[in-house]
Amino acid sequence: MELEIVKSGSNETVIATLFDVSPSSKIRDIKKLIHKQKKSLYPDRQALRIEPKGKSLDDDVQLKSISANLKNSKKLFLKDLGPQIGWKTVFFWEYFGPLICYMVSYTRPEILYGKGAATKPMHQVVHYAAVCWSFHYIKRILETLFVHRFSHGTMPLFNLFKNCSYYWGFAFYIGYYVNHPLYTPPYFGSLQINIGLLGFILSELGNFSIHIALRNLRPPGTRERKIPVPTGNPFTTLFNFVSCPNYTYEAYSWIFFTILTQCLPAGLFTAAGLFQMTLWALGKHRNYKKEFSNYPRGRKAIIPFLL
Amino acid sequence: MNRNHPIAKFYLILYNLFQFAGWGMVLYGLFTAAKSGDLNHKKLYENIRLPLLFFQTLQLIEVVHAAIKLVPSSPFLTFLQIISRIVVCWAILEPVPETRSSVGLLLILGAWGLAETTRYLYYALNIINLVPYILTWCRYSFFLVLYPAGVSGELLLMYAALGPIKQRELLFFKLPNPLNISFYTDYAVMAFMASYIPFFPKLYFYMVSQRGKSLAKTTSTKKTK
Ligand SMILES: NC(=O)c1ccc[n+]([C@@H]2O[C@H](COP(=O)([O-])OP(=O)(O)OC[C@H]3O[C@@H](n4cnc5c(N)ncnc54)[C@H](OP(=O)(O)O)[C@@H]3O)[C@@H](O)[C@H]2O)c1
Repeated sequence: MELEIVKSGSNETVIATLFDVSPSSKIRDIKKLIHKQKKSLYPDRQALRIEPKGKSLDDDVQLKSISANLKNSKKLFLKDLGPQIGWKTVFFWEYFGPLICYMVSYTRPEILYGKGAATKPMHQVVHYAAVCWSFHYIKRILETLFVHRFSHGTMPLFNLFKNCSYYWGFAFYIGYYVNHPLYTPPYFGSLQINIGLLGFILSELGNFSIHIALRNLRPPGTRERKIPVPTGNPFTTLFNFVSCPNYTYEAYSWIFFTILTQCLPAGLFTAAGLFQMTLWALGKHRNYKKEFSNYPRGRKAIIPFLL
Repeated sequence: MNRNHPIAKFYLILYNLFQFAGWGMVLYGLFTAAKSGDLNHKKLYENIRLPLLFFQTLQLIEVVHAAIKLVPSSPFLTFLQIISRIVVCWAILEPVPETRSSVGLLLILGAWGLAETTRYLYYALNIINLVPYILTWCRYSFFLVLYPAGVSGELLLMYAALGPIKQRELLFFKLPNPLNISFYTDYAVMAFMASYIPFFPKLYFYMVSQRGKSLAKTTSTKKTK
């Protein structure tokens, strides 16, 4: 059959016309055919849709399964996702950067804090905070490498700049104050420090447990999606209450980090992260309900019982 | 909210005329000062201070208008357009009297006054479909000059405020403190000034494109009549 590939947008221009496409070919194959005609549009950069603003078709969808929806006009709409970049590069710059930015301020360099700052005494909590911070980002790097089974190999290049400025900027902003020679230690002393530390560790464990549970939902090499449910691990009980407990635990981590350091910039980072993760969680929650008719009722998106 | 409801229309006409009168007062203050040849800024500012602060701050209600769909604009964009002026009024002109002798004050009064009087008169008459073409043209053309002039005025005022702010440590929040954060107002003002670099061209060219659309629309409806 013949297929016309149209660019979605205000002016619909034909990007490519494919002849003799077999009805059994998959979206993945069609993307490759388009790439042959349009060198700049490599497969990862394309999203194909039946409607100009519709849902992007999965790579595994067969042409014949959607040909009924295509009606007479054998048209597919293509959205250019922009230049793509491999996720390994992204995670490296995204998570390694905050580690470096924070550690630079931890050494109390002269250009930041003036002469002799490095030799001034440092409160114990400042060391704890540096350990927590590094642990968190090293954990993320390792998880990206060895735990997550992502469904996409790439992401838009623009995201790299956006995410890096966010993570690097906040790392520097928080590190600057926590490691400052004029830092004021927690008001409630060791009680506050212990609550902060314990809470942080538990939240990180929870976050890690959820990531493992999500990994086990997906057989290696596939892009399958299932309804997540609690496993034997008690931390995963949170799945009974929210769709994205990894975000919930992530938010808890930063709340406890803020308690530990009593640093308002860390609080701002917590708020910004919670805001962003709430938006994502609401989207994922909506998708779950749309995708699975038997999706458990009563689950919220990110904040148990509330949101 | 149905914006075609007579009460909604009546309210909007009233609001726009009220704003028109307010900015008219600001313009009038500027003109009398100019005519007397005495642009002694301190006196000028005292004369227009109340209407300027009142009507500029009142504009915040337009964010509400947009949010309850009384007018078809986006609440966020409306807020963005208003906030920089609110900052100039309440965070620059009011707390730092030194800025009032900057030529920036004349620029903002002239630019804001002219732009707002045309805009609000246009809105008021538009509700009852009585806008003469010349007013539409003014509304969508004056800004080509007034907008850059106003922005220059705002930037000049902020620049003039930097020295006094630093000297008086106005609203500074320094370390050490139990929140472990610091705030330097002069840096905040500089950052605010820098934010004009991405926003100004964006808003300006957005308005240029609106201009093309609106003027094309009115000429074509005139022709078909
Ligand atoms: N502080 C912050 O601001 C912030 C912001 C964002 C993220 N984070 C951290 O980074 C972590 C990862 O973020 P993320 O947004 O990538 O998390 P995510 O979307 O929840 O995904 C985690 C992994 O699980 C997979 N997955 C999710 N739902 C699944 C399902 N129903 N069935 C099978 N596999 C599923 C995902 O695959 P897919 O590739 O198919 O989605 C992905 O590989 C978060 O948990 C959080 O700790 C922090």
